Amino acid sequence: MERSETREETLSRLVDTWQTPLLRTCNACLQDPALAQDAVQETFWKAYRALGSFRGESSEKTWLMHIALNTCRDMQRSGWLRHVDRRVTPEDLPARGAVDEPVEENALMAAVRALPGRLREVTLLYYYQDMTVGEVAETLHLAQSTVSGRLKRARERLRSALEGGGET
Amino acid sequence: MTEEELRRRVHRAVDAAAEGLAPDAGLAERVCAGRRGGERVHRRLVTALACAVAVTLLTSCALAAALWQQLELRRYSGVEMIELTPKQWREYDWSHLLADGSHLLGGYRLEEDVIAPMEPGDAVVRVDGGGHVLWSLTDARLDGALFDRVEEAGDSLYLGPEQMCAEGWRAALAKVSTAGELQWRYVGAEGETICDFMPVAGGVLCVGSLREEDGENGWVLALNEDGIVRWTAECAADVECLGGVCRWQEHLLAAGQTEDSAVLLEVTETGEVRELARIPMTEPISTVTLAETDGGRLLLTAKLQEQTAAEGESSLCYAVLPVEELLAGE
Repeated sequence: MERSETREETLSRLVDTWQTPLLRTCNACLQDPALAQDAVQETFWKAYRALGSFRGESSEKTWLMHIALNTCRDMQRSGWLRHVDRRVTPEDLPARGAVDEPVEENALMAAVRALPGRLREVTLLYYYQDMTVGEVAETLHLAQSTVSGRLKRARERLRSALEGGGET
Repeated sequence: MTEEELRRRVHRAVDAAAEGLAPDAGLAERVCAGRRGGERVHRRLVTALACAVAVTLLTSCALAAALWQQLELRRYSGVEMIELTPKQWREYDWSHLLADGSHLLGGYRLEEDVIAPMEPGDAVVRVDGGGHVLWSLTDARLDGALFDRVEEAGDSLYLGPEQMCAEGWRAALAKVSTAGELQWRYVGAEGETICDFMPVAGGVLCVGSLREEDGENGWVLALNEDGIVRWTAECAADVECLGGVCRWQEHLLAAGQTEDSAVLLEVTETGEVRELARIPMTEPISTVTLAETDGGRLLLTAKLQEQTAAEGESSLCYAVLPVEELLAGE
């Protein structure tokens, strides 16, 4: 946070800079655009409250990504994703929307989505957010060796999924 | 495929999946306004099926009374579930659980998507079944608390499981008397996560995960009646997280997850963790929970990660566990 900024100005700058990358990463994690928007709003809300304690020891990017990924995990654990009505069959339900629309990159996205959560997180941070292994480790509060190991396993799974699916 | 090609393809795939997902121009303003105006309602509608008491975090007592009407939860025998996506939940306007034969039907009304921790001055409010406020509790030690679970134990209530502190988000539990007095608050260390908790003789048992250098590990925490740590225990290395805990007769059981299976474990009062069963899963798991139905069956539910299930299929799996046989096995 720059010293001359008010909290509101800092938040505004963070939103301008990081909203789109966070939105796309959360969407890849949660696979629901509406939920991704909720997660991003929640991320900035948490960040806004914690601005006073952010000492700049990590970059804004790794700090926000850390909050966002924790938020996504919380949402996946939460009651939002539970419960039911047996009387309503899946055919009765509204369409899920754009997330299911076929696109050229579907095979790779499906492979990313099929990764276990902790492999998907390192994949998105390393390959999509273009973070270094060190930055990924800082974001996820893990050892670099752990990140390297997860990246290796993620890479193997992605390649296997794509080759198995007839991709290059 | 080279590294560079993989990176390019991930970029294209993630960007394509987010096509049409536009930034929200009013986001910063709304976040700031939420803080200033106190307009955000603290709504977290998750409640344990066994809840006999509803404690809801609200910005005012009036809102508590209004919201209570939407939180009627009941338990039923013979639980069976399918799942709706959160979006579908919002479009279906259910506000409580209903029974229909052997099935569990249910839902929440989600009028407000925002989940927010308590601000200074916010109150924990207890209301009766008619929506009348019995008491409200305001305490600076609860600032930043995000409590969406409540468990009743005799003349006390346990609230949890997390709180935003100066150091960031931490696992948190508070014990409140049924008269509305804060008795103690426990705040965990960095890396500790509490997913579920239940009162036990002499205190409260919490399950969740402990993040260490080599990743997350399933973790059990026992606090005494004064909020002091009695013991902690970790699970086998590949158990990443414990998502649920419940009592089965005289046994304490917990549900956990590995990368490719759901796990049932027994936890003793002295901190020993014994694995009873593993249920292989064909898809990655997001969360697991555990509950005893009114019919006396133990139900383990495992939620698959988001939409790895095919279109039209449930992403919530459940298993009715033969607990007696599992407990009898060596």
